[in-house]
Amino acid sequence: MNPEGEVIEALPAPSLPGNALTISVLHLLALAIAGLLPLDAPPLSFLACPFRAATGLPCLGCGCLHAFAAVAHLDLGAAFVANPLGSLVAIGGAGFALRTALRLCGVHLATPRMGPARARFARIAIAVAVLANWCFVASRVAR
Amino acid sequence: MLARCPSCRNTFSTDLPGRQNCPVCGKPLLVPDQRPGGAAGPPDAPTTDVAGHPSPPGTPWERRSELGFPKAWASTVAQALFEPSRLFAAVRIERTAAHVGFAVLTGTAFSICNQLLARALYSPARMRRMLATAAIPPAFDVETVIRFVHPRPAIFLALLAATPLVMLAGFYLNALVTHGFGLLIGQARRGFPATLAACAYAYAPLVLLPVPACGSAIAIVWLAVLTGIGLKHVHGMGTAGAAASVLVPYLVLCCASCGLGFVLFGAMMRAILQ
Repeated sequence: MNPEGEVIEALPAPSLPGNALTISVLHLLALAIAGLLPLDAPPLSFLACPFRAATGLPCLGCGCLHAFAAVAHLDLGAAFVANPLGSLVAIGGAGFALRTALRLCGVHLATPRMGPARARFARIAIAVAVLANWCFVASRVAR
Repeated sequence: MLARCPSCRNTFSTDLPGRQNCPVCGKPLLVPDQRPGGAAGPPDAPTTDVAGHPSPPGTPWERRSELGFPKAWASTVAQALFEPSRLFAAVRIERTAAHVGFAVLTGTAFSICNQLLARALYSPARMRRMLATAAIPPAFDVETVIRFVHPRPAIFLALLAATPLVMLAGFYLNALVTHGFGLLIGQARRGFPATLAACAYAYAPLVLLPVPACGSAIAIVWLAVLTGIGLKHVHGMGTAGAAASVLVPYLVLCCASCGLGFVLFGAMMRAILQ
């Protein structure tokens, strides 16, 4: 298979934005629902995290629903207090939905380039961020 | 082998033919298989798997136009449950719509069966009889719990109508978190559609949802195991990487994925404490 180092011409893959469109719609729906629902009134206030109930510690997703609700109400301060990474996901998802809408309109934004070294650094940074986020939420829950 | 991206015209080294993203510009492309008998490379041609096996034939569900809908669905579920390696080896990852359709159809149908069966089995009168035999604290509000478990018909119908959307959202959430962790450990080699395919066929055990008592628990565990097997096949992940990619979503999405059983349990505990 290509033993002499000959360069193969790759073909453009079909890039139907089906997944991007579905994810964008679902994300906007989740934001809208989180913004509309009365999270702190019964029966929704009955929803308890089983991990937290069992261990007294929050799970990695604890506070995300409130973060989404706060982002939907444009209360970014409350969103970051509820769950910093959850609020980043909510805001990032809205950005992704905007990018998908632009893509549907024929506007293609450049995809960020990342070499192997930067990708490895990004992986480590994300792992550290998830851990720091959990520590932050745990300290808030403990107070 | 060296390949040239059709978008940015940069050349890059790759070990495998098939669909992948350009490491320079990130755009999706298709590297034609140069081996004898390999896929010629048009966009709708079968791709090769990570192990290099050419042209997977497609799962029965992906060939439902030739097999017929009921037979294709039943064969796919049977293979997923009892011959998962054979099923995942046949997956054509570019058939995203078919994968999403299988997962949402299977999950929705059996979740609705489960809800109807639960409503028929746990009538308010029967729940009152069950709770009357238990040692309940004086402050326990039985009627609140019964209303929560057995909502009014209009609410129940609304819940049934929302099931496909909930199933679609849960499916994508599961696939996104699984793929995100696969990327984090550097083992998601074939892109999001491959993870989506693994997660889709892993929904086959949801046929057990209507089984009273233990059906849901068995379905969730089986789903996790099948997702791991699927990831190993479609991405060529190692066992540890596949296990981590599958289990982490359950940790991250603990609140979301533990299901109505935990919600009910939490509600009952809250009612008891109040």
